[in-house]
Amino acid sequence: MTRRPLLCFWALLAVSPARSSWTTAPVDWEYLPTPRRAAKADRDRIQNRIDAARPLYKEFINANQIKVISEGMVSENCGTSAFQRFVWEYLSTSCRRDLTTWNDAKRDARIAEAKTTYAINQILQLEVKAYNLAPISSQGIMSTSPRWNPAFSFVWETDSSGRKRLAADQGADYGVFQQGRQILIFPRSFFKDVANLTDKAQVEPGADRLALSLLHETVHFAATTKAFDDHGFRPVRRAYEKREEEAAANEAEADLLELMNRDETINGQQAPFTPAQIEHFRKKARDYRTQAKLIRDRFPDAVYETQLPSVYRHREFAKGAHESSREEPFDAIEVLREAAEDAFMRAQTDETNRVLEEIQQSQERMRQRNAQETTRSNSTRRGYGSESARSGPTRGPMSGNGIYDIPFSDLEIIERAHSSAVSKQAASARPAPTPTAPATARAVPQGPTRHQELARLARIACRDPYSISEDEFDRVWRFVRGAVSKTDEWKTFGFSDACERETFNELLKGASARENYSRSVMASIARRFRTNGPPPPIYTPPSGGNNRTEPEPAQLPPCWPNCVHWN
Amino acid sequence: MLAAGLSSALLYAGFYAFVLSHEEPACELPCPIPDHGGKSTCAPLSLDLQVSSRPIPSGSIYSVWHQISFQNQSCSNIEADVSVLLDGRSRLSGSEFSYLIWDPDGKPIAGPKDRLPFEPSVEPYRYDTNGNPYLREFPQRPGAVGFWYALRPGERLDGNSVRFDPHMEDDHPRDDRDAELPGSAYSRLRADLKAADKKRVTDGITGMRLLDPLPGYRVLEGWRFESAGRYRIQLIYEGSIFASRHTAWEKRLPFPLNILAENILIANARIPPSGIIEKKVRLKSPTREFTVAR
Repeated sequence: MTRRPLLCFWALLAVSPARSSWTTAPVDWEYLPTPRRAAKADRDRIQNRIDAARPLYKEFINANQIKVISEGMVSENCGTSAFQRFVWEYLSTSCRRDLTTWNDAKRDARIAEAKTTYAINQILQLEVKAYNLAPISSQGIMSTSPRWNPAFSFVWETDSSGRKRLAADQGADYGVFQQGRQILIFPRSFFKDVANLTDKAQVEPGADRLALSLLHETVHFAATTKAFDDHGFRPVRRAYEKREEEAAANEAEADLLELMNRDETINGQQAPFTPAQIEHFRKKARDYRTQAKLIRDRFPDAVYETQLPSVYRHREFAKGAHESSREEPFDAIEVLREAAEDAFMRAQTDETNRVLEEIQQSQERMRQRNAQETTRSNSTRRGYGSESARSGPTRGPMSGNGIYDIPFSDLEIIERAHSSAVSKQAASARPAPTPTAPATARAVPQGPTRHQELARLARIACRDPYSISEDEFDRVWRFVRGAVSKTDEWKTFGFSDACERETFNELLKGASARENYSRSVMASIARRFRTNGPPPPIYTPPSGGNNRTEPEPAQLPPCWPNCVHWN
Repeated sequence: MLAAGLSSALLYAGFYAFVLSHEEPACELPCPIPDHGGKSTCAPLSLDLQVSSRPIPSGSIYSVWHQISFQNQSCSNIEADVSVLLDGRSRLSGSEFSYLIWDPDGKPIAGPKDRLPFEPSVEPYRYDTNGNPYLREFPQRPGAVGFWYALRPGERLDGNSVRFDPHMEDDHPRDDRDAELPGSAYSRLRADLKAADKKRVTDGITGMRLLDPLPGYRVLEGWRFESAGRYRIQLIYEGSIFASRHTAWEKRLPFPLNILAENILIANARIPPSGIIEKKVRLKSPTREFTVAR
């Protein structure tokens, strides 16, 4: 990594529009992951698995088509009623033949569907690991709250007779958080198709697109989990709340794209995503947020889309628009076991474990490299800081392309029109994020004792667990593992509140038991004892800092742009 | 009793001989029965490509004006996924459709250079999905993934063409402005929204080197040809097709002779043992040429 990009990176963080994505949506940010772009080798591994799953998908489509055609031939040759079929099956060879074809096709389609589902679920495991997409906790406090367990699904729809059937257009949607219980990811997130993208600013199917889909649905998961934590159940969401949630989910996707661009540009690569692709999600988020605000002001109690004027209605929020469950229960593993496809499952699982290990190793290597870079750049940044500061703010890779001057959305026009007639209520105030200086990674502790380091971790965990980078946490944790557990040790540190005290005790317990804790575990421990405070950030930048809690442009440090040291 | 039995046997023997001697109508198409018995090597379906002779401006992302069509070359019904004929989109239905293009030096050009994104997402042309009445009205089988069309023997099916209709692509399509905001109370708002729409679209297509649409043709998107000269183009379609019998003369016989005749034909392998034949195909269109001008 060169020095200059690193310096620009801090400046970029300071003025990035990404932080304007703070939202009032009822989402519990603590449940969200801290995703980042997978290394190229890992992306290639995932893409290879996607390519390998494509023939299975085709096999399913063909088996399904034979099922559909033979069903028609059975109706033609054997009649439509059960009695007719019973008689004709005895009399007609072609009827018997078609019934056999139909039954075989039904069985084949079921097995092919199970194989595709199983293979793609394995890919999801790789994706979650490679992009760090798992939420900090996969379930809320309540045992009844949904578990985070994303799975692959074909798109199912209800026909005019009320029966569930496969949707003809499998490329219509990326995923869904179905009925607030289960994240389903659809084929469109995986398979490339030259002409399939109606909007060309969308991200092409593949590993990156899959990460976006998973993150989007995880935002819905976080919102639902918060509802469970607060109420013990999921209250009926009002129309504006659905839109706020959607805005947050789209904003998160845009943020992730920007983050991935930064990951690459810091490493000296070209930004993989264009401003138009990022703007695609920002525009959607803006539209949803504007609409949510209008509806909250004018129709705060509306729940169903039919309670809204047509201009505000969205088909995707109408009941049933996102249904994707089958009529009969379907368990891919059970189907494959019944079909004696154990060898297929074993081969898939072995391959997944192998690739998971490779991803683990590659992440470990990257962590070590980043740690070295961070240590080096810490010393150089102080030397170059003034030069960076004098160079003034940088708008980043998107500057000069005019994306900040995009035309206002339809809803903004509508809002203007309404506001000329109706005096608006004051916009609901949102708490401004507290300006904090960018965190910097520290070297491995030399002087402090293990207990002192644990006390420091406890304080960080209760204040802002993500102000410490994963790399640093790992290093510190390796150091404190094996610390001697003492009951009254906490008294020597003068903790200011119960959260710090209890978190310290828990961390000490884990360290003395030589548990393998991660930063996420530390955050979840502190979360149990924390009573209030601002929501923690979603993302961490690649070098371990924190971009969500960076100051707003208007809240830059007083020394800007002549800062020499920010911390 | 014996006489009755004898006469029944004679009648059955006569009917048996009649069924076996009955000849199917002669098939004059190049591939009479696709893969009957697994020995056929002919392609039951052909892919055609027509290219306009009008020169294409260099550097434009909307380049080759062309038309694609499928033709059934067999005497069976051929069911194929024709999603791409509808609006150029695939429905992830398992079949793949790709273009091969060679530059004036005969070197293959790798993929569209500007597939993503065309900024902003403004489209100058739109598929006329009502253009081909066969594509518009064909009944889609319930539960099928993709758009499968059963071509009758010899039938040719052309793709929909495009017309000039600049618009913004939106993955949340909304109603028309007039339907969305009815009544005079919204007239000002409607006008504002329409004006904003128009400005976005006008700004979006500015600078694109566009040609007037050709009736009956569609345009290739994303490939940008910088140097002038004569290029070659070919289409490839890969996927599965399903063949089934088109004519079943025995079905027109009265009951129970229709069943008897059918059983006799199946027993003597005169009709395929399975009602459906699946065939994996890789269809290539003829190679055509087009000209890129400065």
